[in-house]
Amino acid sequence: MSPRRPRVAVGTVAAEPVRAALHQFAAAAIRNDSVDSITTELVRLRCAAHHDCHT
Amino acid sequence: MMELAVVLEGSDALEHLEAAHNAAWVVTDRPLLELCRDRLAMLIDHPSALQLSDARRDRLRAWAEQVTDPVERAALTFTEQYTLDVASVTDDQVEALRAGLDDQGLVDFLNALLVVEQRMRLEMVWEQVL
Repeated sequence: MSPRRPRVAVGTVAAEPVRAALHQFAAAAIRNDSVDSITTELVRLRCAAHHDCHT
Repeated sequence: MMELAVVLEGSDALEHLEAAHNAAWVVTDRPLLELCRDRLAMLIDHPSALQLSDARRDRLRAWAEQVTDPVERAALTFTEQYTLDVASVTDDQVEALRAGLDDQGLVDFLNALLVVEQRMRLEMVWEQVL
């Protein structure tokens, strides 16, 4: 994997209204127990790969 | 189409998704986001694409020839790449958009586009699965 370089200034984050709501949505999705935890984790990993997410 | 409220009954996920969606339209340039939302809808075959006027659909289908504003062109280029293969968005595509929006504008636009896209795809998945 080639090294990444920052595409925006370090420390630049989304405006608070969107950032906060996205975090809360993600947390609510994780709290939702209608899908079993293994399936949830598989989907999370698949999405991370698709988005090239390094977190 | 099944309402999201029905699917997420008993969860607070809908509340936060709606909050994010509402905020998305506040933090970025609305006409620019509308332009990209409509192109995104066409690409993923979201039902809202059927609501577009013929002129709007034709313009977006041929945007490479018909859209001249550099920020709109950069946003549409980014949106198409983001939709088809987000991991392959190039530095040049990001820089073209950043040049028109600045760092903060770019980050806000991308987050707004993410929220709009997530909501559309969720609607489509739920329609197919449930």
